[in-house]
Amino acid sequence: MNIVLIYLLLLKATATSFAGMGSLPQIQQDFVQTYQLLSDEHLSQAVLVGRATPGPMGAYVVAVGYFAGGWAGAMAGWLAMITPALAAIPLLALVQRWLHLPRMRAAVDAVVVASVALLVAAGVDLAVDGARQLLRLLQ
Amino acid sequence: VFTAVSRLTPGTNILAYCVTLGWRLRRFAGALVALGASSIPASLIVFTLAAMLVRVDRYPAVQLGLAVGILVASVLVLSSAWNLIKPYLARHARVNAAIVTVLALGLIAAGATPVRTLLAAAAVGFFFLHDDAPR
Repeated sequence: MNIVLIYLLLLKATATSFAGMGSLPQIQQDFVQTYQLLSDEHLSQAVLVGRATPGPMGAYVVAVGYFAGGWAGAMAGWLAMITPALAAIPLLALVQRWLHLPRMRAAVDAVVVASVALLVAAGVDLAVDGARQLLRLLQ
Repeated sequence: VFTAVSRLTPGTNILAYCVTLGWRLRRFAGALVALGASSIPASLIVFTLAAMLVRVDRYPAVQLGLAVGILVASVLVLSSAWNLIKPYLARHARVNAAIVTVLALGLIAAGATPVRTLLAAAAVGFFFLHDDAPR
């Protein structure tokens, strides 16, 4: 598997989310549906591993990278997780100038609210997947 | 200011928060050390757990445990969503939050990608909801 592609897809997901788990819908779209690098089951396992681990909630992208591309994929996942955080340095200077602008605040708030809707949709998909697996095993 | 910056920075908020703290204390070196310290230990644990899981997930007992774990994880994902939306349920912010939620759900139902959904929400917020934006 192309590690650069894994990194870019994960970066696309982390750079367009505003919370650790906010990247889940984009990862589901790219890794499961579009490129089929992961099964629903593996994505669910990645979320489970990430949530079972102390530390940043977004660390599950390391597991996503590992399931898609082995240890190199895990490294790509780690890089994709930390890259957006570096944007905080230039933002620190800009925030004091722009944050008070009502339009900027409204845009950011709208993005956070929309990301919640996306997260709920992804959470429901995850629950359905877990329930299906459970039913299959109990049959 | 650090909290505001971490909220505005894409990705995992706590990592951005650590970066701004490190930057404040030791500029680039501080930011890099803070970023490494806040991300590497958890990433190593995730990597180890994922690698172990691949080796044992064919056993039925493990599969059963995973299925239950995934259901629990889905509840935790939904609780993350609840924690994110809570500040927007204040009286002055509810209407704007409802407008954006309806828009986002409509776009999701129509099959829009997450990025397009977020861009549409940002545009609606920027152009139409700025008068009494949630604080």
